[in-house]
Order: sequence, then C-alpha cells, then structure tokens
Amino acid sequence: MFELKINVNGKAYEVDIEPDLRLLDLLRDKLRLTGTKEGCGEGECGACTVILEGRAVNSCLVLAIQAHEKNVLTIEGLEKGDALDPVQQAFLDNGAVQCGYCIPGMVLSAKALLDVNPVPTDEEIKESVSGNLCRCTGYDKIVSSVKLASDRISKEGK
Amino acid sequence: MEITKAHKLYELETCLKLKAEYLEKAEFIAGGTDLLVHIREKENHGEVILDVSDIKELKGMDYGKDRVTLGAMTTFSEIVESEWAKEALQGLWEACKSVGSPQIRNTGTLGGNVANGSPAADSAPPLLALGSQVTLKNEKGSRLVDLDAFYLGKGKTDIKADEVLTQISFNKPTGKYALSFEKLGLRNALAISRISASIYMECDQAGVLKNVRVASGSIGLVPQREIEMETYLTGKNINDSWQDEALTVFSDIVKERLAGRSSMPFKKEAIKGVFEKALTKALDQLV
Repeated sequence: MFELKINVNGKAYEVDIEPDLRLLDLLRDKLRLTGTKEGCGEGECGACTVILEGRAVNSCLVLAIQAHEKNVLTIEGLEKGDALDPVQQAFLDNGAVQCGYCIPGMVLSAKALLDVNPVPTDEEIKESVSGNLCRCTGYDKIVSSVKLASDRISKEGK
Repeated sequence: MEITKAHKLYELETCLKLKAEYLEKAEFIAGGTDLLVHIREKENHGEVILDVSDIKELKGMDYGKDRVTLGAMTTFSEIVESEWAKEALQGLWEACKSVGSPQIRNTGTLGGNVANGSPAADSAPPLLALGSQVTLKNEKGSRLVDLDAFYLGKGKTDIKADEVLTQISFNKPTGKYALSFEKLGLRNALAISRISASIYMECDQAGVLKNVRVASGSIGLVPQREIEMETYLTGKNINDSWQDEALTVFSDIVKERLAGRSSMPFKKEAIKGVFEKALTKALDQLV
C-alpha cells in the first residue's frame, strides 16, 4: 500500500492505494469524480485526459503514485460556483456536444492549450485535440468552440 | 505480472541502491506511456515499480559548449518546446513532435523511448544519426555506451539488471550540418512508426557531403545505423543528381534485409518515399 497525497481541483486528499492504481481509477473509483472517462485504457483516445501540473495527460497511462504531492485538474474542477468555464460554455453554445463521452477530455485538452496560448491558430487548436477522438461530431464544432472560447476570454480580459 | 510494491523516488542514489537489491524484480516507470500498456496487457516484467519520474538528477537539458546532454526524464514536449532544439536539432525535434499525441508527449520520455528498445521508437533514428551515447549507472559507477551498440535485439538492450539509464548525450553539431527525420505512420497523430529514417550530414565549401550518418527505424529488429547508405552518400556533391539512385540503393537494402517477411514488399517501396523526404529536408538545411 502507498499513502498517496494529492490535490485534485484545489482540494487535498490522502488515500491509501494499491501500487498499480492508475490515476484514472483513483479519480473515478476512490474520489468518485466520474467526469473523467475511460475510452480505451491505452492512451489512444484521450477520453481520460486530465491536467496534471498544468499539462494535459492521459490518466489511464499515469500511475497514481506519479501524481503524489501534485496538482490535478479534472472536468469537475472547471466550474466556478454556478458559472461554467468559458471553454465549457463555448462548447455548449456552439453545439459541439453530441453523446458527450469525449467532451471532458476535449475540454481539458483545449483548456490546457488556452492556459499557455490564449490566442491559438486553427492549426494549434487542431493539434491540441489531436489526442482526443470523437466518433460523433466530425470535430468541426469542437475546433470552432475552442476558437469561440478564446475570443470570449480575450474580450473578457479587455 | 502482479505488482506488489511501488517506491516513489526523488534521489538517484536511493534508486541505484534499490535496483541493486531488486535487480530484475523491479521495473522503472518514467513517463509510463509504455509501461502502463504492458501492465494492462499483463506483460510487465517486474513485481516492484521504481518511480523515477521525480528524480532531479534525471531531468534537464544541457546544450553547453561541446556536448549536448539530455536527462533520461526529458519529455518529448520539452524537446518540442525548446527553441534551441527546433533550430539546431531539427530532425530530433520533428521526431519528438511526431510521437503519439500532446498527452503522450507531455509524459513520455526520451530515456524510456530508448530503454524500451522498440525498433519503432521515434527518437532513436535521430539520436543514432547524432552519434549519441547513453549513460548507464549502477552503484559501482557509470559507463558510456554508443547508442548503436546499445540495441541487442528486438526489445533487448545492453542495460544490466542493476543499471539505470540516466542520460543521452552527443557532440554538439557545429558548422554547416543538417539533421532530418521522416516517419511513415498510418495517420497524422497517435501513429506508431511503420518505417522511419534520419540523416545527419555535413558538407564542405564545394558542396561535398562528409560526416554522414543515416539511421532507420522499423526496418528490422532494432533501430540501426545504415552504414551502406552512409558510404553511398559520403563524397556526393549536393549540386549533382544522384538522389533517385539513393532511393533505389536503400530499397535494395530493405529488400534483402527483410527477405521472407510479409512486410517486405511494402517496406521496400515505402522506404523510397520516406528517404526521399528525409533527404530533401536534409539538403534544404544545407543550403
């Protein structure tokens, strides 16, 4: 057993875990944060994307112990009170959500991009979600939603 | 194999001590992007995990005076985000950029990519073309091994049971040189390399090629230097017309090496396209 200390969405947790527990399973099974999805379990689909120390990672490929004493942001951590994060709001307003399964991963990959590159080109947006697969939408509205979020964040800042 | 214990490590000394105790019973986790897949497929080898991802001695990129040293924990993203690497090591930069996806590049490491010994490892051909060496440390000391001697067979490397791969290093290229890379994958991202090539070359004032190193991935059981291609290219003038012939030479090499394998008819043709691109990129850098 390993005594894990981890900060998820701004809250500190201490959990006793098996050594081979994946970060994905820590979030879903131990912390009951089920917004992060398991699509493939092998890093090919990005549905399990979370932001670890500011970087988008596939939580199905990270052992929880690697996140010991680190900060993780999941989809649940984006909303502030009643307000959705601009990226979430843009996805909703722009009609980018169909079945919804890929969306937490997509939103977090987009957020990870916008946090370091607030005014990305279309190419940069597409690359930021190149590790996130969507079977429903054809990606078009996902990309334009990220652009919309970027525009709105810029306007807000002014 | 079931995992019974994991050690979260912060210092190399502790890691070396533990590896000396556990030997083959322990396996390292660096980025984890390969290991977690092995664990899922129940093909991992060690019942103990040594988490080296936070060991400070394994981190950092040093492009000092004469030698470039990359810590084993250097992630693909760190290379991609390095303006210096983009400028000075184009082929390595492109190779790292082509790995997996942003998520995989954020966690995957050069040390892991090399130590896994996969013939398809994207960083291997440019690191071979750079004439790289790996530093292997154990409790007793350290040794420097040429990367092209490090690969022993499919998935097998020269790392001993009590050793850790700590750094990858190579002489800093100077003067007029080129480093290129080209990979063929089945899609634009999340694609394992089906065949890849990397070229390092220098040329003199008259345009004559010298100090040529060519390396390939996924042509055979290990990433390897292509000595016949190096011999072919050395002495050629960049202003002459031999590029088409070069493709045929490489194609014949592939045809012979992979004779009898079902991938041969595809790869002997595919190498022409891949090498043409790698060659064009390299020649463009020399202009």
